[in-house]
Amino acid sequence: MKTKKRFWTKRISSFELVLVGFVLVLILLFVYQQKINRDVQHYTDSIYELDRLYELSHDIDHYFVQTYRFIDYDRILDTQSNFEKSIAKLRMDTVSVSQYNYLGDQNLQKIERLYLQKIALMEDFKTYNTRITNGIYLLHDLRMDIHEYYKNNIDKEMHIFYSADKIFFMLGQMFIGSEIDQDAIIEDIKKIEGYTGEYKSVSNFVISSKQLLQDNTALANILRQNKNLHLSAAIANAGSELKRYYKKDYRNGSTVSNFFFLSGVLMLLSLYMMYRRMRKTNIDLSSFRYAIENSDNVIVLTDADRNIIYTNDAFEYHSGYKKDEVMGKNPNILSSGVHTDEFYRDMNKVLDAGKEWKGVLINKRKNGSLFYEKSSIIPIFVDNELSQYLAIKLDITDYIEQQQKLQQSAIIYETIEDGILILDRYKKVISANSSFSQIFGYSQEEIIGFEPRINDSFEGDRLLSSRIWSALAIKERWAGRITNKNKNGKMIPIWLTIVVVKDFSDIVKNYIAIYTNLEEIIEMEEKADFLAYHDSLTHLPNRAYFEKSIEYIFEFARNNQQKVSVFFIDLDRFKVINDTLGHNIGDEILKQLAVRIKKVLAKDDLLIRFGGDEFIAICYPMQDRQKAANYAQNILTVIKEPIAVLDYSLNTTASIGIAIYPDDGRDQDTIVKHADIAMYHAKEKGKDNYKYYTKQLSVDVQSRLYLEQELKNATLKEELSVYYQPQYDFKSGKIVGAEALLRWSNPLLGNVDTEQFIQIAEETGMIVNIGYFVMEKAFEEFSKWESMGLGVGRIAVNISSVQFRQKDLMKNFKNIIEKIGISPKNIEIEITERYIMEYSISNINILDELRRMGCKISVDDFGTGYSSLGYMKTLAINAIKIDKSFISDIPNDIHNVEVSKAIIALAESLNYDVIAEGVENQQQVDFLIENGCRYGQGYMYSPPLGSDAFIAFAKSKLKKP
Amino acid sequence: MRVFVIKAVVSAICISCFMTVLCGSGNEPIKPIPSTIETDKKKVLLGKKLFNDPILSKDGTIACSSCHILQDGGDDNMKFSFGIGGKEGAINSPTIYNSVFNFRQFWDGRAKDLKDQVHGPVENPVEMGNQMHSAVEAIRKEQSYLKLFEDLYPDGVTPENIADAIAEFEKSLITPDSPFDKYLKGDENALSPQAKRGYWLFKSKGCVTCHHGINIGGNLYNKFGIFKESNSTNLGRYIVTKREEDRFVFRVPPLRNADLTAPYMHDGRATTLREAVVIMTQYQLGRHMEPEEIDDIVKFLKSLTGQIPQIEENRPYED
Repeated sequence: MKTKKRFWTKRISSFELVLVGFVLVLILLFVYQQKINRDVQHYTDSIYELDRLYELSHDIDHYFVQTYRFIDYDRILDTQSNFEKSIAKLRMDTVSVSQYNYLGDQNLQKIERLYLQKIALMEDFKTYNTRITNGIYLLHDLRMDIHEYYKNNIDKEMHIFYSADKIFFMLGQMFIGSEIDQDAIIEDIKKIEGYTGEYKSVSNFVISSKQLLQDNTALANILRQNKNLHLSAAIANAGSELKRYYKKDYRNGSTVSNFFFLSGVLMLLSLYMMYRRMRKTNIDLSSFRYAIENSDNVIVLTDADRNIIYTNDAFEYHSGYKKDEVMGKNPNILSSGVHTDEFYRDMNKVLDAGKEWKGVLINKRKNGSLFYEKSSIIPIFVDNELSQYLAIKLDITDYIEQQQKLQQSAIIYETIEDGILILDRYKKVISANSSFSQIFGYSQEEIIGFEPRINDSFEGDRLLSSRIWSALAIKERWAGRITNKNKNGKMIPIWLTIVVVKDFSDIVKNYIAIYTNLEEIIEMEEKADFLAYHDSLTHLPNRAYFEKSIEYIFEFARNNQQKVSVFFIDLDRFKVINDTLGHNIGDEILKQLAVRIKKVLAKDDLLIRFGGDEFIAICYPMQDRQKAANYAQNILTVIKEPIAVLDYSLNTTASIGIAIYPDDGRDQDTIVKHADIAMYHAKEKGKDNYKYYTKQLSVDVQSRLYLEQELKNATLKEELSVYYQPQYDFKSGKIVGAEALLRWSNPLLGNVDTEQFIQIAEETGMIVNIGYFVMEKAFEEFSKWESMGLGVGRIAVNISSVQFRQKDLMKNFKNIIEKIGISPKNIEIEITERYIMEYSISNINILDELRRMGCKISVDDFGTGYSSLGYMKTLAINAIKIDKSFISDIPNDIHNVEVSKAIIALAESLNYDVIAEGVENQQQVDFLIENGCRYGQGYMYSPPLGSDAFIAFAKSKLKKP
Repeated sequence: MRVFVIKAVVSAICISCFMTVLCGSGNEPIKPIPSTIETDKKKVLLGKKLFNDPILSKDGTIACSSCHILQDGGDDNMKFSFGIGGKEGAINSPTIYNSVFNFRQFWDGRAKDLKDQVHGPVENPVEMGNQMHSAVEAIRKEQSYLKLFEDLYPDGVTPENIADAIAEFEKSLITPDSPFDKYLKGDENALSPQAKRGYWLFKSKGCVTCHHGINIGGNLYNKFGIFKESNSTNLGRYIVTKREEDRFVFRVPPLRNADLTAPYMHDGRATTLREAVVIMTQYQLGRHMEPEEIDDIVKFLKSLTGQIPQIEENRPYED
């Protein structure tokens, strides 16, 4: 109820009251004006009708005057009808607007009454007037009749006619309005009455005269009565009375109108005053409103129930909500949920107490992001009653975020590894971070207020310094590499970035110098560089380095008319070492050899690890070929020296190919290729030596390719043949077996070196088919021998490691055996030492299977590899063959002697048979026998022989016991 | 000398007086009937229905049209009319035609106008013998009337409205274009020379003093029998006014269609027009007139017969 009351008092302002009053006055004035208009109309109508009535009453009276003559009574009736119509009109007006009846009912009644009397008289008047008119006319006619009748009788004429004439004229005086002398007329009538019987017209005349007199009296009476009916006067009187009343009323009306007009003007004046006041207030209000609308502060007004009733634009801007979206809603739609319930409880406690609440609110924008508002919420009281809440809020999100950024920046400033100096506009240090102190060793106190020296490394410090500062005057940033001395005098490479900080008016405020310590980076860079261009194992420059630098070297040599020698060094059988002893050992060997070779070379010479076991040495300038040869020899020598790795003492050799720039090539690829070819040549020439590149070598390579081509056709053309070299028992001198050896006789190439084409066959895979060919041939031959009773114990065939990799080896082997019908115990399989060391389950399985079949297994070229003797023990091996290289210089070469002795002892301890290869003289035989080797093969006994030759040879041996 | 002067003056006045009546064709004492008169068509049709409907009479036998036969001069051609139950009335029924131009209705002029007149015959015991309110009751029972009344009058069927409708119908009953009216309008050939002579006599013998205006009479009262005792049983206006001088005073009857409205006089004492003219010369004018003169006047009177109006049949009301 209370609110309602306030609502009303609020709603009805004095302005509105006055306005309503003004409108009321206007309405009243209008209504009154209408009334006046109606009155005027009524008055005018009444006056008009009265005037008309007045006129008509005169007309009526006028009829009364028109006595003794013909009157058209329709006209009288018309007049009456008009009169009655006017009366009716007046009567109606009088009835309808009785309260403004100026005329007065009495006046009207009086008029009506008089009128009706007059009309009644009129009717009588009409009747009598008709009679009299006709009567006079009749008398006139009768008089003429009498005159006619009596004109011949003078006496009678004189008496009767004269009298009649006299009567007629006396009566006729009526017409001119004179009083007629009735007695005289009656007298005269009496005079002629005696003659009525004499003539009909006389009697008629008498009757008519009397009738006329009688009627005239009646008419006179009527006219007299009419004279007393003052209708016109009554009408005139009513008119003047009406005018009087009207005037009075008009005066009253004017007074009332004036009153209304005056009060209207007064109200209008006061309305104008109020309007002026309101306008002023409005201007003030709109100024305030403008201020609020455009305030940076968010302003929110809610009603007592905390529903939003107003927000300014800043609200929209900061909250992201549109005004329409929040109108009528509780401001808690902004609630972020960050604050605790207790926070809001405390807030409400303050607000409920009617006090202002101040604090920072963390609210949520429409898009969900949070924002900070420094808020002040004020309850507004009107008449001691809470009417609204006003919230003034300042969005301090930017400030807080800036604070946070500053904090972050401060942390970065203090923790970053870069040294940072902040200088003032005079380039004096204001602040330095701790990293700066760490890098340069100066404490803050020692540098603040000083101008830092930009660069300590050059004499031209000042120059660089001024260049930087002038650059900064144009640009806002300078960055570059400098070197600065630290407190201890150490030169530190620095990446310096200087940034200019300007204020709003574009005036330099600060310089910020960022010192990035490049020491570590440079180290890292160098390391990376080293890794990229050096071999990690030997620390020698790698192939990439070679490729990068060789052009410079060549260019340098070209410019100086010098020559460069390129040594392609490849370790012999290094793969065997790797395969047999493991990569660790191989790596160690490489490391040691790298050091050794390096020592041989001159200081400026370049040694490169080109590949696995390939090195390239570049010597320049090369004085002459001999010098190069010396180098090569020296290299070979140092390589040959035993290498101690772990518990091993290993021996290795190398082959070296030498190519000369620019003689053997002008670009690195050619040079390297040619050196490589030369190296292969060296290898072919028995390894452990060096060869110069010659053009012929290139040709050889070509011929090797040709060889390969020819070999493919060899089996088809039956150019391949198997030779057999007998194996002897030294003591008995008997043939105990034969080794099947392949020979290739080409029409163009002649007898091709076995080692050479076998290598090609292995490399190309042709060895597989060639292998089976050999087996078939050899086994067939052996069968033949047996049938001939040659007493050759066994046939030995070489099986290459390539062949062993064939999955169907055993199947094919068995097929061949079955086909030929040879007993496996007569078969000896020769494998290489390297094959043994390619330790694998399948290899072991194959060997086991062969042994189970009864085949003998021997290891060929023993001593050239690096067999693990311990391991060999576990293998199913029957015999080992000492490589001919060990036998050849026996007994002169002590080294070979020792090796051979050791091998024989080893075989003995393992219970293997030993077969010596390449036995050429009796001294060797003696040595072998002396040391316990029973078997051998070689030119001393027989070279490999063709089928027929072998049979012949064996037969001859049979004969000689 | 004085006498002479008076003589001269009176003569002059007499002559001038009559000259106004006799001469001047633009100023004839008789005016032609207008060819149309303004009426409310619907009211006319309702009035016609009522006029022809015996519902107004007490026993439902007598309608207005029983005594005012529209095809026969607007009266019943009888001395006295017969009312309900065959009762004979005491007065000759006057023609209904042109009654609108009469200044009063009834022979004694007791009704101010046509509307006022309606009540008379309805409530006259020897005519319709009814009461107006009874007639209203009867009409209200007729559905066909109710609607018509409601259309025309906000207050429906009332005595007033019945009278209004009938009066409106009667108002429409005018007979324009009589030969004499045509003559008045300038058609010299509309009248025979005898009729023209009759008209001259009509004017010069004083008939016109009473019988003039648009309806040729009907605009004043006069005594029946000025020069000769009329011996009338009906006392005329005396019944209304009770004034001695109004004894035997009647409304001067209009002469239009006189040829069709025999018998004549309030008591129908004259059966022919000639007889009526003779009575008039003796009783009213106190003049002797020659038989030829009488014939001429009769001839003139016969030229007063106008066109009977054709009132549209009120078909819309009959279903």
